[in-house]
Order: sequence, then C-alpha cells, then structure tokens
Amino acid sequence: MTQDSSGSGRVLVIGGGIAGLTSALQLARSGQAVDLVERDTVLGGHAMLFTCKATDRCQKCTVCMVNDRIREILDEPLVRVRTGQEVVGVERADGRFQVRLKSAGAPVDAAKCIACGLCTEECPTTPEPSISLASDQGMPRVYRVSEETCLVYLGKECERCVAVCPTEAIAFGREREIAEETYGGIIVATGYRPFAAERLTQYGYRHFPDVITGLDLEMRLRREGRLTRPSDGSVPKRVAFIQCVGSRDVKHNRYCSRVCCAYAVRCANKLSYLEPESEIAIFYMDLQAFGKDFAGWRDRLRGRVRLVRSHPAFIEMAPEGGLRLAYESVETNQIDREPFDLIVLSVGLCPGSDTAGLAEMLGIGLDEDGFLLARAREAGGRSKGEGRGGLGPDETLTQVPGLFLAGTCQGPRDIAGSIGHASAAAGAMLHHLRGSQLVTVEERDDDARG
Amino acid sequence: MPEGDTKTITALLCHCKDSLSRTLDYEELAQMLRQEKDVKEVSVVAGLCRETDQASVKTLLEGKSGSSVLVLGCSPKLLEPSFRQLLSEVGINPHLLSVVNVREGCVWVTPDQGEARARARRMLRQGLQRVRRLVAIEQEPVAVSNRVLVVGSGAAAQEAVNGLGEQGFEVVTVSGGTERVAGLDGEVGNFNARIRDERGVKHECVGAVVVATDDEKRFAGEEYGVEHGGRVVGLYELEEALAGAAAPGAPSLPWSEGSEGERRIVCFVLGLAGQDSRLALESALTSAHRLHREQNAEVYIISHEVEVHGRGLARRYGELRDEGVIFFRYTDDEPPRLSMDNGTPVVEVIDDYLRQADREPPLIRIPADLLVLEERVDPGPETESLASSLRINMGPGGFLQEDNVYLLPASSRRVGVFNVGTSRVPESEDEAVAEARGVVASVVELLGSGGRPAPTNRTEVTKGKCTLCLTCQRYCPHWAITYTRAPEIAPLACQACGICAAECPAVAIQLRNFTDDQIDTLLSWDPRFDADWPSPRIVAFACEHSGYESFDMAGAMRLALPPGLEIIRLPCTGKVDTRLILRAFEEGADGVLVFACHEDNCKFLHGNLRASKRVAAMKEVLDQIGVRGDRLEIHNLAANMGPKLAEIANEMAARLSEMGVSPLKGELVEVVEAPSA
Repeated sequence: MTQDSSGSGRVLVIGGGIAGLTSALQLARSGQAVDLVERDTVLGGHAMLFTCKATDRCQKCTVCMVNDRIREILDEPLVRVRTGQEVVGVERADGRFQVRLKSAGAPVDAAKCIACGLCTEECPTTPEPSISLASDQGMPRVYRVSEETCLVYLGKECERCVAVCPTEAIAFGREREIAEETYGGIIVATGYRPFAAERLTQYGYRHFPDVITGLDLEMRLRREGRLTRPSDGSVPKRVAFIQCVGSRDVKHNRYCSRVCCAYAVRCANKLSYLEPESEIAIFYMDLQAFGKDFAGWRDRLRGRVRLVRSHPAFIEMAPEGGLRLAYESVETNQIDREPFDLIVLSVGLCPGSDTAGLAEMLGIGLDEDGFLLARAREAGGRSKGEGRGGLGPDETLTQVPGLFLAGTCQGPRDIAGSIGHASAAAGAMLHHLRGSQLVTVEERDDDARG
Repeated sequence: MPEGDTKTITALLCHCKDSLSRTLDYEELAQMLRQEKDVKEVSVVAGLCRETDQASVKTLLEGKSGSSVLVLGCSPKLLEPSFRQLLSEVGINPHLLSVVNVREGCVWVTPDQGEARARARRMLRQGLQRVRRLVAIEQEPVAVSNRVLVVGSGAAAQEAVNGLGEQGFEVVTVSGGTERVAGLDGEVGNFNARIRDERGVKHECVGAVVVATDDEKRFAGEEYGVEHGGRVVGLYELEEALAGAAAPGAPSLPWSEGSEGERRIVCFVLGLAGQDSRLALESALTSAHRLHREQNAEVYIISHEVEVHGRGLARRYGELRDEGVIFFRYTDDEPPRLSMDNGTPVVEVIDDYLRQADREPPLIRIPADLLVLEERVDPGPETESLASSLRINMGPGGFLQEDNVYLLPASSRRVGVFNVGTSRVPESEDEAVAEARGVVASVVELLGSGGRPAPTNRTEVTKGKCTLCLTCQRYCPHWAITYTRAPEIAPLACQACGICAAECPAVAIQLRNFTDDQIDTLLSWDPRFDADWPSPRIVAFACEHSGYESFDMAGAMRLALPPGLEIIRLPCTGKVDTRLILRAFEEGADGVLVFACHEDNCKFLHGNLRASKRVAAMKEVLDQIGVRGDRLEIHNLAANMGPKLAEIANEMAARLSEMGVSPLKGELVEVVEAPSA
C-alpha cells in the first residue's frame, strides 16, 4: 500500500513553507521518499515571520503549526531537506522529471555553519551587524548575510567574518553548484509575495515610519511580544488598520486576498488584549468571514475595536506632528482627518516574484491573476466515464501529469487552507505514483532482467 | 538504583568550535564525568552538528550497542533528530540519548560567566542522571486491518471510497438510508464498528473511519417573516432550478407568471443567519448573472458583507455590478425587514453606504417579483448521534471537528477517525472532494501496508496498583485506553502525552522516560554540588510543543533569562501533576512555572486545562502550608513567544528575589543532612 521509493523514485517538493512542509511530511509518512527544496536558507516560509494571535486563548491563526511541521520533518528520515537551493530546469521524459537544482549561492554554507555566532561579533557594520542568525526559529539554525548592509556587497574591503569563521563556512562570490536529479513527481509549493505597499503612494509607506504593513506588524509583535512605534519606540494608543491594500482594486489586484481580514481582526483583538486602553479601528469595505467560528467575532470585538466601513483616501502628517488618516465619514458627510499613532496597511498576497518563469519552466500556465494555473474541476464533479479510482480535476492538479500545486502559489489562502490544500496535493501525488509505478522505466527493465 | 537499561555511558561534549569554551570550562566538565564509573568514554568535540564530526562520532559509537549517549552542546531541537538517526545506524536505541543544551539553554541566555558555568555544571549532572535512567523504547509492527469505513454518500464520500480503493484498501460504506453507525469500539488499526440497519446490527473490523456526511441547507424564511412558496424561494434551490430550466421542457419558474413585457424584479437576501456567506454569494452571482443577462431581470443583491473571499468572486462581483446588478449592504443593528404585501414579497433595507449625517438614513423598499433567501446551513441531521457513536466531539455550529489547529486538516481527537468535507465545515463540493483526496493520504500514513511500527512499551501499567477506577480512560483525549481486567493502552492510538499518568490516583501508570522517578532526579537538589546555583531557583515545566519551543527561541535571540531558571521539557503539561509541583518545592525551588499551550491549542486537547486546574489547586495548598501560592504560576505560551517567556521568567525572578528564599528550602537541607549526621 505504501509507495516503494525505489520503484517510483523520489518526489520533489519545491518550497519549504507551511504547504511544502505539509505535503512532504504526509508523503514521507506514507512511505514515499521526498526531497524538500527551499530557496531560502531556512525552512518555514512566511509563517515563520508571523506572530501568535492568542489572547488568553488560541485564536486559531494556525501560525504555530509551522513549528510543529518543522519539528516533525527534521525527525523524518524519508525527507531530505535541501535549503539554499533552487530549481532551474525541469524536463519531463518517460513520465519522470529531470530536474536541475542550483545552490542559491549564499555566502554562508548551511552545511558548514554551526551557528556559533563568532561572525556576528566580528562584523563591523552598525547599528545592526550584517551577518546574523537567519531566523529565530526557522531550521536549520544558520547565519545569513544582509546584501543591503554588508560592506562586501557595497563594494568595500572587509571579509572579516570569512577570516573568523571556524568552519570556513563563509565565502563571497561562491560558485553556484548545479545538481541533477530525477523525480517521479513534483509538488510546487512556492508560496506568495506580499503586496508592495509603497505602490499606493497615498498611504506614504516608507515615508512615514509609523505607517507599517500587516507583515511588519506580525514581525514586530513576534520579536517584541508587544507593539511599539517604529519612530520612537512608544506604545501606540490609537491604531488604525486599512483593509484591501492592493486587493479588490482595479488598478492593482482585483481579487480578494482572503487572509487580510482574518489577520487584521485577530491582530486588533490581540492589541486590544495587550493594551486594553488603546483605541483601535479597522477601515474596511466588506469584512470577510474566516475560521470555523467566525460568527462570534463581531460580538467579541464590540466595544473594543471600531469597525468603520470606509476605504481611506490618504494619510498625511498633521501640522503639529503625528499621522492623520483621511476618510469619508458618515458621521459628518465629509472627509474626516482623524489622528492615529500607528497605521497598519493590510497588504494582500501576490503571486511570487518569479511565478511566470516558474510556470514556463514547469510547462503550465498562469491564471488571470498571475497565480499558477490549476486544472479547474468541471461542474458536477467526476464524470462517470473516468476509470477506476480516477481523480476528478481540482485546484491541486495541473495540465502536466505528476505535477501538483499546493498552497498560495495557486491562489490566496490562509495557513489552515494551505494545510488542507497541501494534504490534497499529497493525496493526488500518491494516486499518481500508484498509477505510474506500472510504467516506470526501471521497473520495466528490472522485469526484463528478472 | 537507576531503572535504566544501560550499564555504560558515552559522553560527547561539544564546544561549538571554541565558541562555548570561551565561557565554559570544558576540562572541568569532562573531569566531572570521568569521575563517574559508568561513564566509559568522554570526548570533547568541536562541531557535533556537522556531518564530518558526526561521521567520526559514528565510528566512536560503533560496537557500543550497550551504551547510552550523553551529549552536551546546543539545543535538542538541532541535535536530537540527527543523533537519533545516527544511534539507530550503530545499533543503539534512539531513546537512549540525553541532550544537555548549554548553548541556547545556558551560554546564550546567561550573560555572567560564573553563573553560566554553575548552570552548565548542574545541567550536566541532570543530563547524567537522566541518561542513566533512560530506557529503550522498542518499535514493533502492530497488525492493522486494511479495511476502512466511509460514512456518507456525497461527492466527498465517493472520492474517499475511490481513492482508498485505489490505494489497496477494502472499503466498507455506510451511506445513509436506514443504515447507521451505532458504535465504534476498539482502537485505530482494529476498530470494531457496529452498523445498524432494519435487519439488525452487524460488526465490521476496520482500521480507520472516514466521515464524509453532507451538511443540510434549510429554508429559514419563517424566522424573518416570509414563507416558502410562490414568489419566495431558497438561494440554492433557485440555482438548481435555473440549471434545470435550461433543459428543454422544464417547468417555468413561479415568478415568470407576471404580466408580459414587464421587467421583473429579483431580490436576493444573504447573510441573515450570520454565517459565512461566501458560498451564498457565489450562488447568488451565478443566478443573478443568468436572470439579469438572459431574462433581463432587475436584480438586487442584499447582504451584510459582500463575501468575495472565494476563487474569482471579487472579479465576478465587479463585473455584475458594472452590468447593473445593484448591491446593498446592511449593518448588524439594522438587518433588512422582509414582509408580504398581497402576495408580493417586500424587502426594506438601509444601505450602510447611503447613510448621511443629521438625517434619517433612506429606507429602500423593494417589492419583488421573486425573493431569494439564503438557506441556513446546518450540520447534517445525524451529526450529533454520529459524533456520539464514534466518540468524537463537535466544534462550532455543531459541525464535526473541534476547533483545534492540531486537528487540521481532517483529524478528530480519536486517532483513526477522520472528518472531511461538509461534515466539518460548510464548503464547496470542490473543496470537499480535495479534502477527501487528502484524507486518503492520511489513511495510508496511518495504516501503512497492513502493519504499522508502533512503540510497544511507551507506557507501563502496574496492575497491582490499579484499582480499576477508570480515571485514565475518562481523561485520555484519544480514547486510547480500554479495560479488560486492567487498563490496556493501544500503542497506535496513544500519543504519549502523559495525561493518564498524571491523573491516575493510584500512581499505577508511568510514561516511560518521563516516569515520576526520572523527573524527580532532574528536580533533586544536592547541596554538595548545587550550592552555587544562582538564586532564585525557578523550576519551569515546559510543554515541548510550546514552552520549550519558545525557550529555544529566546535562546536563539540571546535574550537574558534568570540565571536560576531550569527548564524541564515534557511532552505536555498534562503530565505535570500536583505531586511533581510539590516535589519541586520540596527540592528547594523558590518558584515553579508551568509553560502550557493556550486554551484550545493543546495537541492533546486538554492537557493544558488539566495542568491549569492542578496549578490552581496547588496554589491553595502552598498558601495553606506557608510557602505562598504566588510562588507557582502557569502561563500560556505559543511555540513562537520567546520574548514573552523571557518577560515572564524575569518578572518571576524579580518577584521571588523580593519574597526571599522558599521556606521549604531550609527544611530540605535539614532532612538531607539529618540521616548522615
């Protein structure tokens, strides 16, 4: 019943975020050998940057599940984790995939780095060293060089970290090594890119230090355990969330990103829990339901978080200092300018930056929003004519047999949704391997020899 | 006398390429171990996490199958996975490994060198005590049935049936009608399902159960003042009727009986039941599109929120609005009023966007030729009795699956019983079918190919102590415990949380490698060695899924922690019983912390709640015996809250410093010294 890994070959999972981790784990536990390739230095993806939204009880944001999956995947002998590598070529032959992998060329070699931290002590850049732990929890525990601040990247002489590293793990201008592997199937779980909030110039992201994105908020809460203002480190008393930044917008992305209402409401709820005196407002068009228990949310927010049905026009600096948010108010019938200490732009999810290239390499298309194209399931479901155990098409399947999609590379979904999608992709892969086992070249040859 | 299997110990001390030996004295640590008779080998190494060093360690360990291994170095999160694998390769049971975390757990969080050294010495002694007592846990295949019961008859159930068949399982179905699941005994791998129909009850042995029953859509207009029939129809009912109407010879829709040539008004009302109306919007858009474009109807869609968080919905919503379909949004406080006026349904609504200051909001009155109401979506009619027969719990709204993220995507608290599709949440057929496909992988994962390796001796029940009180069975979150003459713990169902061991009033159950004796050794205090341990001494019991993850994160972030903090990693705080807490105080702790998961976030569903109850009870006891209840605290942490853990521990340390040493501390010293005097 389990897949014989020598028969149908290893399976490749591209992407080590929550979706890739889930698919890889489920396949491995079903007896299938898996290579999990992640371009970044560490496993974990975006979820590893997010904060727990719990108050005194869990709010089901599901962020912690990435810790759980990483812990389990490192303990899973059938999964070979290859971080710091990317897929640069895919050829399909005889129902199998010839894949070229390239090391991403990061200065720190993850196989050698022991995370001793000597390099950070030696790094001359201030205030923050340019080489530091890649992630507080993403695995493996290795160091990473910031290309923005490192002197070497700025064209200056330095390389002091190279000299001090006791394992000779650091080298600049490293040759990118190419490896070739053959796989019986591929699950693509390359994730998303957050919308670049600076594109909406009216909100002044990157001009006003106290205008931050939802991702910034998550990272600040995670690192500090509470929310402070970037400008002066104070605890903001008045906080606004602006929904649909880059989403449901004819100029940018027409689609709803599906996650922003959930994270804004959960974060607002947490902020109100941490600082009960704070005044929090969410400016929104339509509040999108989320989670199994959405019905109770409005009651829980009542009296603590103001829900304002308005899409704000712009953010400005008040003459006396401080941010002001301009929006059409039904209270006054005009544009109100309301002061806030901190404003959060609830940015949505966009296709990953190289999705078009990836699609071309994989031989699949893009949908109208730029995400990887799934083979849509036809109305009415599985047709009766399909063969024994044949699968009806759905959002995990592509035009290419043996190639499946998992998570946000296929479209916006939250962590719980990505887990479900990735599980379905693993199921589709098992089905595929079961079928293809009968025709793999090795087995045919083995039979001929036998 | 140590209970462990092992006669000898091999110790490996890693200084992380001299980075740790700048703080710690490795010669001193090695010397401590060399004085112990059972420590046969002490090696100081430079980088245990690297493959090259592990290769040389492998050579060192080869032929030492009678040995246990003590490793001092970095976090067990980093060292344990690769070491367990390495030990298996050289024939040492992977459970005979103890990792002493002096990097993330000591040097990185203890700025003062003297304190760091004192901590490392005690941590090494604790590691030594632990490794001496570790026992091998053997994996043995458990025979499992390759039959799977699928409950339900919809598309998701069909997908599960086909997919499981494809993977070689024999599928038994209960697809409704007069057939019911009457009960489920036994445990995963070998369930005994009782299936009842009009002929009686039959028994089926199955390895797993997949519930894929459908939800129920119910017209609930009566609650809002309109009755079904005539010009009032249900939303999903209309979608089906329109799809059917496309077929030749289909009966005409009720509303088309109006006078010829007039433009008909169709009014959709969504969201009155307060449920997620994404699927409703999708259906409304589909029908509105048809009526508006093909039949030139004037269409209004009235909803609380326009729930466009489904594939392509925002785009379709925009297109329909551009084409002239009119959307109104109402608020919580002012839902639309529905009524009948001489057989014509009337909708009165206040639109949130049309509000103006100093003025009554305009009331929009729409007499409709057809009123379309979203049905209420409820769990299938048999859900409650099915849950009770299967001994699983329901979640929000009475759907299956409790709202606990560890159960995602399709698990229930009873290992081997899955719930997919609209049995667990209202969703589309596509989504339900995808879930069913995922559950096939989960069943393969669970049942393997007829045999499944499982730890066979993870728990130990002392039959002489057991009084058959059934407490363990009641508190087991997974129904892993059955009784014949004594409790029997099913190896595949048991998740080794330790809740039963903590709850057993007769102390008849022990969780191997977390036995009372083994944990007591970690708590034990010996003034001969431990006198230089920094004060105040705080013992923290940490769940490995949350508290310990956060502790490790605090280490990675190099946050300063109280130097007198010692962490005891447990599979679940459900293992922390009152005896253990009291023992920590008896052994001289000034304070005790319990780091548990948040409510609803326990991997074992209620281990954290049990811990919380026991802590509350113990606080009273501590008050009564003069130790003071505020020396004991429980805190909820997620896996990613390192800064919060540091804050809690440092606050506790500051408070304990003010309170002074625990009154039990002195007594302990007397007790220990009295016999020898």
